[in-house]
Amino acid sequence: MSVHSRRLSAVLFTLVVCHAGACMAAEEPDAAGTPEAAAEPSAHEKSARKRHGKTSPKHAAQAHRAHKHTPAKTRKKKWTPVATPEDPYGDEAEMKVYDPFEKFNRGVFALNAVLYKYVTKPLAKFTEFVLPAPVLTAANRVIDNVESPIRITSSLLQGKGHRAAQETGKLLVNSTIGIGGIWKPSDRIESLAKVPSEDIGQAFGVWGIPSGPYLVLPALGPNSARDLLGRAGDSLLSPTTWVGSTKFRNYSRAGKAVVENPDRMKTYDAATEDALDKYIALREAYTSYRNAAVDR
Amino acid sequence: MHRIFRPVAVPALVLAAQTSLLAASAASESPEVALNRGLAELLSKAEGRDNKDPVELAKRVRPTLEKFFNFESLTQKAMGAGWREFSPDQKTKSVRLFSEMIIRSYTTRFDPSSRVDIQFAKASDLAPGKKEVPATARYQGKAVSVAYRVETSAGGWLVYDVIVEGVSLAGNYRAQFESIRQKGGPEAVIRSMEQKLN
Repeated sequence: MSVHSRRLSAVLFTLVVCHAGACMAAEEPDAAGTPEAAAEPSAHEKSARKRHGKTSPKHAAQAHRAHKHTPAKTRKKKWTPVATPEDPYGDEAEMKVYDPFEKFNRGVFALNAVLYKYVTKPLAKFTEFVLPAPVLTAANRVIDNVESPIRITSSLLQGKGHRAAQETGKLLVNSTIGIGGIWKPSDRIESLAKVPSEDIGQAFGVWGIPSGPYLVLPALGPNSARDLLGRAGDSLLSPTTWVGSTKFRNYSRAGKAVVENPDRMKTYDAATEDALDKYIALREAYTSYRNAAVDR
Repeated sequence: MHRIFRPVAVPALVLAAQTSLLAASAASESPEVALNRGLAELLSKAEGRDNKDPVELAKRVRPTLEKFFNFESLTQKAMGAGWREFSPDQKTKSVRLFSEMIIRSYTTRFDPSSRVDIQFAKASDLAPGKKEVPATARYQGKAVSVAYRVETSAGGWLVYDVIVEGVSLAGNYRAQFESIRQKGGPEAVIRSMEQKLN
């Protein structure tokens, strides 16, 4: 990782840590963690009001101290969606995404839209024009194969030994019979065919680390604070980070970005083309997808 | 775009289309069996045609979708708790516009010459009268996990949501509609759909 990348990671890590507390509240909103609940008086304050008819400064301070020192576990309630006559599908509603930097994120989203339109989409079209579809598919397979250590390690970190074994099996089969991953004979082996993909961000999710604030980064697109740290972990585990000379590694990363670009642009289009609010559509799609990935 | 965010590019129309014939005999049939049977009917109308005009495709598949897909429930779920703010006229209009949006958006992306292969798994109970049928869809060389959410109605089992790789069709629109409704009420929601369709 370059010096600039390390600095950026440090800055972003600081941002993430500062908001970790708020993130926890957002992941599992409770009576005290949400802005709405900030207006809701604590139990102590309510009974104080009942006894005295109003809240004196002394009792308000007592209520605040009582709430502050209440253990987190007894304060936090897991958010449970509930169906009501007015909202019969409320029991399936997704938890609201924690997006405290929405203004900033929308600005970056708009910038990215311009970047995608004038740079990355034309590049994607050019890539598809120059590289025939089978070649592009094979290149994506090779990248997927090379990044097996990420999935193996992530599976182990989540205690998914069987999945780690499956990924190892895939790596062996595709590297040998598949000649380095150009072909994917593992897809024809039933036990290796449908292995869900894992990454460090998912491992963090399984460990119980909340996703944190939603972030839109220049060129990189949607992320969560947790996934951003996960990406750093993925990068460290990827052989393209530590195999070969600096020049080779840089060319590998550039080649990877070019090969993966067409699919990324298709993802972006799929998530936003039919949206009424493209920013929200992508935010919700990304968050839902990642939550489902953690649960797999 | 982070490569871990896999494309959700499989047309939900095709996936939702597997709901055809659910209503026909849902009383005696499990949802997954009916979905399997319905797949043949709808794909026979959609696949293998040289004419890729999405307008013509929408005309061919619309009657089947309207019969077996609960657009009213889908719209209500997409609007969320704000649905109660809509007048009866606004509700009728919203259902019509939203169903048109959904059908149009996916017929423009569906390639009738491509083959779709869907394998259904056993349904699980979500709530009284609601089930979820998981499936794996293979389309244009990609495999994606899909779940159909179905509910009982007078016509039998009807689909009210489709979830592709964890992304709910209704849930995704719910967040968008809520944002629009909070700023401008039900009329703003209706206007936004009209603008999208025009």
